[in-house]
Amino acid sequence: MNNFRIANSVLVIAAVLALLRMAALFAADDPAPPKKEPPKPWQPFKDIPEVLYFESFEGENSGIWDRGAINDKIVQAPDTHSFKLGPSGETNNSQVGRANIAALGPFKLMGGLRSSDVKIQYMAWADVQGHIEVMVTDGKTYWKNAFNLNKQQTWTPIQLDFAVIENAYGRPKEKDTLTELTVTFVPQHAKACNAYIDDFIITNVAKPADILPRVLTVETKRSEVLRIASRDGFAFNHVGQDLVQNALKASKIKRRARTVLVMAARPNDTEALKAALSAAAAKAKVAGDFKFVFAEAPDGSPAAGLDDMHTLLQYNIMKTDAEMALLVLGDSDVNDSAAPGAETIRVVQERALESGCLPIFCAAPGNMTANTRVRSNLDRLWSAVANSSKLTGAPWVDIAYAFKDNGALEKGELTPLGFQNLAELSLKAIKHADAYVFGRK
Amino acid sequence: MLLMFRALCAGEMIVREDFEKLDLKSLPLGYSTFTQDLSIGADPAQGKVLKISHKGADNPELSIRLDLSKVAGHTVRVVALAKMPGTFKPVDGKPEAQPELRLIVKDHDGADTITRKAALPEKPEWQRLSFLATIDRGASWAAVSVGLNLIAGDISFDDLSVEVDPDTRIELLAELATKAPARKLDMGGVSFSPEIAEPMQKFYGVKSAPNTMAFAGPGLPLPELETKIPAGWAAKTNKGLDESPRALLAQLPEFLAKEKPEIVFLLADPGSPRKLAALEALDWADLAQACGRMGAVPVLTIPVAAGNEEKDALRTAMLKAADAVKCPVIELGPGLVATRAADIATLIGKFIIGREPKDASGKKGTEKVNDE
Repeated sequence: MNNFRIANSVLVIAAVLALLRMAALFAADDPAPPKKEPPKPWQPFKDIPEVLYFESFEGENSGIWDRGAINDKIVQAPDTHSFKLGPSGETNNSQVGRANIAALGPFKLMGGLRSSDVKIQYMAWADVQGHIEVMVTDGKTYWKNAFNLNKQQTWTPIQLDFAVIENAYGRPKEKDTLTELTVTFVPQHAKACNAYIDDFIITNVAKPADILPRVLTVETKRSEVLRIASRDGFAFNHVGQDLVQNALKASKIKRRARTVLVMAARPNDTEALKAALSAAAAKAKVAGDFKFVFAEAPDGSPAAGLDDMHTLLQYNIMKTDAEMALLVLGDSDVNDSAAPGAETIRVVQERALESGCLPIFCAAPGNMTANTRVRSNLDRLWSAVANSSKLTGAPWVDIAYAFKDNGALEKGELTPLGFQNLAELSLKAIKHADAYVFGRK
Repeated sequence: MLLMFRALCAGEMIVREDFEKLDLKSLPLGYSTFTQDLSIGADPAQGKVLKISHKGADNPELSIRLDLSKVAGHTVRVVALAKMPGTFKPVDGKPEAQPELRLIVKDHDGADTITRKAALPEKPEWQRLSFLATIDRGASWAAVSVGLNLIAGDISFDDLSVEVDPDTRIELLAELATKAPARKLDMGGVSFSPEIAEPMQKFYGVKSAPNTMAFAGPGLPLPELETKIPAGWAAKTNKGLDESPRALLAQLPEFLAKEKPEIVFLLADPGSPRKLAALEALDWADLAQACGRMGAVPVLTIPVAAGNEEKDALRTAMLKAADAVKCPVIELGPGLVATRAADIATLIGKFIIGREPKDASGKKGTEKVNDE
């Protein structure tokens, strides 16, 4: 019996030890679940953390705003833009603009902030008198504030904090998550009208009026960087600037300044592009400032086209030590079967940036080619360049801009004038990158 | 002995007419048409094509004169696409009355030598017409044409081309590719098939060093493979070839251009702490393409399956790459990789390069190459 008890005790102790050991093993294998991080504040300006949101309507599109459109007729300063409110469809002739604030990234209004701390300021203009309403909603409940706009055809600053945006039950609480903000101008006597808003800013604690000058200074710097493909022929912005500067810094490779590796769309285009770039540099009075090196295979034959960009770009970057790569695409880069995906461009851009070289793709639009069989895939390749460049931040050139002139394109081929336009446009993009990526203004 | 499948590099394309920009009312120099039954029309699959609709007799055709200074004394490959959904009525006693792709060469006395390839009627799909011909050094005139010869019918032509001194292996190897055995990974760790042999034949560079292979990839060193080179083969190796596929894209092309191996084994690094790139599959695919660009046949050497999605990420990426490039694959495996490498080398030699295994040169061993 004693032996049996001893045996039982030993078994129990062994079982307890095994359990403890297993617990220890599980503890080692499964670390404590990570703490749920609180939502990060939305900081469109990293040096001005008080700003939660700012829209000057000077960008390529109206951002999170819809129902209206960007307008350059009624503006506070020449060569700038405002947002024209669109018809609400109501019989009172009201005009409306809607901001999808749920799309503002990880930060959510109210996001734990007190409504008395969150402040709004914007400029408003209408050609008749009326009142302007700001309404916010979380999709279930609506809160509203109205402001009389007594001065017609004058830009008027409107300031309020969220504490005055109310409904019968009070104001938005810290825990509420707002999804939408609308600005509505309601004209007196339901007159037909036009209404505009501009410089819409939301701040936390700080007064928008105190902070706006700093924001506008940063915006001015950003607008210097901003280039829009449809307006300027090439695209780049401050977000891309940050992305590519960080990527180049992370590569820890310093390439030869102002050396530009060039890959043409086809080997036959190499000579025409070489001559055009040289002429463009001379015309821009930067001949000698930039060194253009054309890509080659190790056997000395020209490296050109998207396939060679995939297989021989790294080799050429290493060989030429180029700081930038101008990568020209054309209809020879697509066929009538497989549709090119965004990854095909992104991987080339990523590899170049990892090698310390800034890639600048030149994308050809579908309507450039006379070959109808490849037109839709060429369009897809153009979109792939635009989309992938947004992700990587790399600047890109729209070849469509190069054949706007009569005689620049003949039967789907760039003429010498077309190559000259493309070279001049590419040089502008290269100079812009030289200034705003490599800091050589 | 080589099967004489080696020929010159890909030749110069002196005619490449896809009819996208051709204006029949304003023909380029050297072009001519016979009869008014020709038009340029749209085809859903091919875009603009040449259409001939003819009621009979004569030779409605489009003819392009060839530059004798480029073709006399040379071999040319003449190719065109044709589509003839309908039929035609043969002409008694005239077997040459047919829809055809044609090369006419005149000698100094004006006598014609005609090479022709007929299009098959009642075929709703596009068919490729092609032939090789050697043009006499003393030729006085030469032209290619597509059209109907002495018959009535409706036919479309597209993509007419003439290549001078083409790589004639294409014709000779095409048949070999169809005979390639189908091997699957789960049937012995080797992936090979006619669908792989055919595109790889285009990769293979005629200037490659015979019976030479190379190893590259983060899986190096792999003594099991490097010390057991297949009989008849020599291996080239170098410092700096043990990098990730992305880094190898910078390093490998120069090595390949210098050493010109026929086969490059791209070795995976199973179990390594290397963090896979987000686009790892594209990196391996482009590395394989880079080998092809430099005239070498790539062989992706992949890890064995672990049965775990995370652990198999590299294998999955490499299989995706192999599928995109259509290149041969072997599986790593203790004690098996050297045998599999020898097996795939034999298959590549026979069905891609066009060489019998017994014709191997007998070289063996690993040769170190200086970085300089």
